[in-house]
Amino acid sequence: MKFFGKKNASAQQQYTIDDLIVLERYAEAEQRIHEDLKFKPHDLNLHLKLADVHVGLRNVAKAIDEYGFVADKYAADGFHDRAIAILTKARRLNPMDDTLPQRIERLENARKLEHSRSGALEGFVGGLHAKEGGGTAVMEFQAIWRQLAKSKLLRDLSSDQLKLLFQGVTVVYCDPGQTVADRGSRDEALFVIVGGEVIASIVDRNGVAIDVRSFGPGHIIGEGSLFEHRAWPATYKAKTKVSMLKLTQAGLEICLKGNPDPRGFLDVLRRDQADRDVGQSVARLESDGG
Amino acid sequence: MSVLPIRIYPDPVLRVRCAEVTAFDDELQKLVADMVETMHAAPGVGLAASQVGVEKRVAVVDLSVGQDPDQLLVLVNPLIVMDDGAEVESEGCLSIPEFTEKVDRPFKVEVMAQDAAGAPKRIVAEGWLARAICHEIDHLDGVLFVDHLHGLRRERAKRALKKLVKEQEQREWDAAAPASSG
Repeated sequence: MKFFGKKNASAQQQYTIDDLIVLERYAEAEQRIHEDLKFKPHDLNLHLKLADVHVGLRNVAKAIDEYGFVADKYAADGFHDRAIAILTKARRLNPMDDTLPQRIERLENARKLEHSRSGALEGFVGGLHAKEGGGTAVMEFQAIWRQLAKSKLLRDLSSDQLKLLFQGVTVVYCDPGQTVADRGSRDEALFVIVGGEVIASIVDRNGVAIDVRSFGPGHIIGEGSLFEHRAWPATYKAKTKVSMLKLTQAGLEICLKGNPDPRGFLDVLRRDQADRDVGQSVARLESDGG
Repeated sequence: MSVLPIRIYPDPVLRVRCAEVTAFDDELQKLVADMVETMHAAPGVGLAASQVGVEKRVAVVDLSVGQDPDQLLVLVNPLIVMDDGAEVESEGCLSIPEFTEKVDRPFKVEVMAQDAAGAPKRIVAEGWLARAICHEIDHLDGVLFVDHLHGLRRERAKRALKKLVKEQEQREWDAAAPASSG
C-alpha cells in the first residue's frame, strides 16, 4: 500500500490552475485555461486567470486584451466598479496606452449614469406621473431611460436633479398627426421628447403648411411657454408616434422644492432655446413672405 | 505511535483525490494512531491522510486537541449526505501555515463514515465541528480551503501560497548546496 509520502506520478496533474500560477508554471496554466475555455468560453474568472498568466509570461498586450474583455463583460452587466478596477490594473501594465484612460472615463460616466438612473426611477415611481394615475411601471421608466440615455439632459443633470425631474413629469403619448401645442396658445408646458418626431410648422397666407423644424429624442420644446409665459411660436405636431415627458407649472414646483441648485436645473432645461429658434425662424419666414 | 511530517503546500499530494479504504488492517490502525498523534502535536483540530502523504480517505478531527478523548472522531471513507445553513468563519490549515481566512461553510452537516475497524457510523455536526469535518473531507478530494476564496481574499491567499513556494524552493536550495559543494 502506498503509505507515507510516495508521490504519485499523476499527482502533478492534479494541480489547479491557481496552483500552476502560484508555482509560476505559466505555460502549463495557459494550456489548462485554454482547455477549460473550450467548455466554458464565457467564464470570466478563467479569462482573468488567463490575463494573469499573460502577465507572468510578459505578454503585456495579450494581458491587456484579456483584462479589457473581462472589463467589457462586467460593464455590460452593470458592474462598473469591478470593470474600472480591472482596467486600472491593466493600465498599470502599460501606462503609455492612451486608450485605457478613455475606456476608464467612459466607464466612470456609465457608472454615474447608472447612479442617476436609480435616483430617477425612485423619483418616477413616487412622482406626479404615478399620482395622476399613470401607473408606476418600472418597464415604462426603463424604456424612457434607454431612449434618453445619450441625451444631454441625462448627462448634464445630477442624480438628485434627475430624481426631482422625474418626480415632476408625466408621460404623454401622441399618435401621428396629433397636435402637441397650437401656435399662439398659452398652454404652459415643457416637453422632453423621448421617442418619435415632432414637427414645428406654420401655415402661410396661402394656407400652405411650412415645416420650420423637427425635434427628436432628447430635444426639449416649450421652454418659452413654461418659463417665460410666451405663446407657442408655431404649431407642434407629432409626425410619428411620439412619447414625451411633460412638465407643467405644478410639476415644476415639485422639481424646484428642495432643489439644491434650482438655477442650474432651469438652465439645463432652457439651454437649447428651441422655442426662441423656432420663433426667429417663423419671423424670418413671414417677413420673407412679405 | 509516531509524529509524521506534515506535507506543506505546494506538495502535489495535497491535490490528489484519495482512494477509498478497503482494508481495515493493522496498517490502517497504525496510520490512524499516527495521524491522531501528529494532529495533537501540531497542534491542530483536524488532519487528513493526504496531509501526511497517504492517499487514502482517512481523516481525524478533535476540537479539544487531545484534552477530551470523547471528542476524537476517526472518519474513514467519509461522505457528506446532508448539509444545511451557511456560516462564515476564519479557517487555517496545517498544510498552509501562518495563513487564515474567512470561508463560507455549511452550518450543519450529516456525514456517513466508517471507524478504524470498518464499522459504519453516522455523525451530525454543527458549527465548528461541521466546519472541521468539511475541511478534512475537502482534503480527501484534493481541495484546499483557499480554493473556496474569491476576489481579494483569493488574492491574499495567492500571496501566502507564493510565499510558501519560495520557502520551499529555499529549503530545496539549502538542502542541495552542501551536496553540490562537496
